[in-house]
Amino acid sequence: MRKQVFGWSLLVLMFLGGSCFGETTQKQGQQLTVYTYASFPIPLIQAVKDHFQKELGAKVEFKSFSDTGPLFNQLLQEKQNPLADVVIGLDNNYLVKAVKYDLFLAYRPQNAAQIKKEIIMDKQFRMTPFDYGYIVFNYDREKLGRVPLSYKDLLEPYYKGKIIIENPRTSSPGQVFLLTTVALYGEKGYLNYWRALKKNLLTIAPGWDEAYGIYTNGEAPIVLSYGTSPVYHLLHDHTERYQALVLDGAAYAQIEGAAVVKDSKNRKLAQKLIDYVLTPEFQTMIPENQYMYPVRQDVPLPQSFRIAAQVKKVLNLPTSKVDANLEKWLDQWEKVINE
Amino acid sequence: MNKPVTKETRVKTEVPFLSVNFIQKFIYLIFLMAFYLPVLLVLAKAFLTRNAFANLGQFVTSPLFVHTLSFSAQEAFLSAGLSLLLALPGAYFFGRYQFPGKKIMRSIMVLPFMFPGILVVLGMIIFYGNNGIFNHLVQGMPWLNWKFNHLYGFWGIVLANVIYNFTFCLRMLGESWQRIDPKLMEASKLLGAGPYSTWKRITLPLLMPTMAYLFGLVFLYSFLSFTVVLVLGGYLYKTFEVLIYIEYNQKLNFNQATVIATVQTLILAFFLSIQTYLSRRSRHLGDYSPVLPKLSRRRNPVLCSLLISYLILATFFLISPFVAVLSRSFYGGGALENTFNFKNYAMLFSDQFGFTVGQDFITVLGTSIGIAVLVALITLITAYWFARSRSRPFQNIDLWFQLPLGISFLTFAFGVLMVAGRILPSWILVVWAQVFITFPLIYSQLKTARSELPESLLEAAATLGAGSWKIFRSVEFPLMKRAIGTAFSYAMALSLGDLTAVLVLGRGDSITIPVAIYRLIGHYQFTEATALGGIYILIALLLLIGFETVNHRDSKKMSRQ
Repeated sequence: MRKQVFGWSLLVLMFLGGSCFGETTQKQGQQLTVYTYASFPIPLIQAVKDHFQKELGAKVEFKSFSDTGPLFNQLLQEKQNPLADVVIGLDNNYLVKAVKYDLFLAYRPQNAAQIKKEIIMDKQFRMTPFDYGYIVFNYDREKLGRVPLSYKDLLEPYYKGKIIIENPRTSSPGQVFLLTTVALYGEKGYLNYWRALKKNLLTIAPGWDEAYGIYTNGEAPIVLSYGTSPVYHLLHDHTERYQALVLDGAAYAQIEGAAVVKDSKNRKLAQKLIDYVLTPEFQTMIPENQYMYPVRQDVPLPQSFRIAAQVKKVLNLPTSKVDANLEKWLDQWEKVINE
Repeated sequence: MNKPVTKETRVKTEVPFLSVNFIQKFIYLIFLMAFYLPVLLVLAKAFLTRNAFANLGQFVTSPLFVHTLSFSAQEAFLSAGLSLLLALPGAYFFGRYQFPGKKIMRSIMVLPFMFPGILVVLGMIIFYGNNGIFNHLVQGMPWLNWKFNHLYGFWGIVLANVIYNFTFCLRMLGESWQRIDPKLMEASKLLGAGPYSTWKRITLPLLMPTMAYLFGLVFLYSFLSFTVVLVLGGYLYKTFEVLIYIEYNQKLNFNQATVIATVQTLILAFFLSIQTYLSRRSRHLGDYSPVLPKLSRRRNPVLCSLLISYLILATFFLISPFVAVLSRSFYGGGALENTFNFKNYAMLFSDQFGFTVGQDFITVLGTSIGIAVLVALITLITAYWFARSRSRPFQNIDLWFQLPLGISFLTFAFGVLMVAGRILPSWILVVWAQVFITFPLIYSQLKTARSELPESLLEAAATLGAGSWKIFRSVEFPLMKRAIGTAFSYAMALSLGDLTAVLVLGRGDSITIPVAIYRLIGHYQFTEATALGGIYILIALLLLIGFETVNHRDSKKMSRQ
């Protein structure tokens, strides 16, 4: 009998506990809920929280998701009755989908004029860019004898087993690189490029974490990463051993955005957050915390960014074209890889 | 009038508080609901759409399905077979002899199980990679003229799965072997049977249920493997779990993900029912004999040197990847790369850790242990309660308790979010999901152990007038203590090592050590992550060794009484 009593009281406790906590999280008022992905830098989150606490007396709560895919899925599921007021960290490749499902509210932020023109992804500002970066190859200067100069060079037999990339199906840098090849060689030629490149790959890692881990363990001297990755090693390891590699001087940009969720119950406050991420205060923090470029023209780059990728030509595909064809390109890519 | 009568018959027929009644049925139902309601909701959502069944038919007939099934089955079959085969000689020593260091080795064997996938992969790369320790050693032997370059491919995947599961097999199989009465073997010897036919006729049949169970378990875990397949397979190989992940996370195609998850569950349910059938046959291993002969160097020199060479080889090939991760943690990045130092460990206690992870190290540690203890307690109490009840209020209940092993975790987690994502705080969701992950393993372990407990002892105690609580405390618990201890340490290990549940359901509120490792790696801090892995191993080891010591001391006290 005692066991049963114990079982019952455990259950009752769990329900009670659950309902109490449930109430506290549903409390409304001057509180903002922000969705982001799990690796969004803590100092940036803290800056937002402090600013809202000090200037507006409001509390900001961040909920993080394992990746942008699950984050976007959650927004879709909650569309009728959203919990989030603001979303930070979806990139330009989600723009068309977000517009299609009508997830975000258009809001032109106060500082909109300060944003670099070529970075603005949506003229109606349903997503406001707050940082951007380039997806390029990186190489280990101590391990690579012959440095490639063009994307074509990577196909030479010399690079066999020397290149690690991320899977476009499971990782955003991987996906951007697939788009890079489409932008460079067109829908007709990109598959041939992949057929040749495939022979030189050591492995196709599921995400940046694994790829970069394999690279820094010396398994292969070339990895697909960010143009700003060498900045990290310069700042923290005081080494210039790892270098960015801008092949043909061209690279594709990944632009991260912030957006107000449609039907947010705290719209005014949510819009203030979009304004805040464009202030010089927040923008100055971006380079050495997020290792991305600020979007404001007037924010100078720190000294450490001298080692970041110098991109001469920014590659781009219209987002509507990407959205219409991405699934097809990925399927074709998968076929070529498995050939 | 009715009440006292039922009470009396209950006392006579079985141990009192085990009777089937409404409350018990209700608790079973609640538990089954906690597991299956989320899954059913997801299924309903997907299969109520118009094309679901057409999609199902299309998927099952596609070449993708055939490829995925044949690869997963091959890889899982080889991983399970090799893990068992390699564990068998070790299990013999662990089951038949006492030797110094055995207790610590038993504890260490739980570790691979709780290692976050990414660290296992890093360990594999540091040790078996093209530029790895193993190949550097091989290069030192030029006459060999060989290099291990199969890590990125099919054999790398199998190797990783063996490394993951080998020690678990060794420990479980050793414990089973220990429960076989040595008198049986002696009798067989007296009757003139040689060692081979004794093994074939006596030992092997008695070990068979455990072997079938372990084979099934490793098969399932390998069939479901995800990180390892993606990192080492270079996308040439896919398991169903990979397909589900891609449909759900990248294609955002919820319904197709559910269709694939359903197919996967059906396939695994098929394997599980075979496994349940195989391990049900001949359950009794004989009486448990805790006193083992000491293995002494003077009396059995051959066995001793065999054991030592086995341990050396197993450590070198199968444990080294974990040691490699540890050794890497003492070499900080940058200028200090080639000198032994504690820079990575110092970082864990600095502000930098908080900047990257979001909470300080002590909080993260507290959360991890708190959640793990809670999960282990809930799992252990319910699993044991279910395992000891002889009545089965529902048919095939064992299969229903085992099936969560074959359900895609993403599907379950998605269902949990649908059921309670908005009303329950995230840490309860995490605990719920981790109980789902740990329960099948713990339940089957406890049920096997409990079924070997002589029921006559409990009945005797009841006849002598002992109350139910007293019987449990003074007869049943001491006999089951070892099994309960093992189950508890595995439940804690699984919870401590879980990344997915915390990442998917924790929403960034609950940060455990694997999440912290993940965040460090996501911010370029690979060597710091290995240091956290090192501390994690140390804490886990302390917990486990502490546990075994308490267990050991108590059982000594028992035997003296």
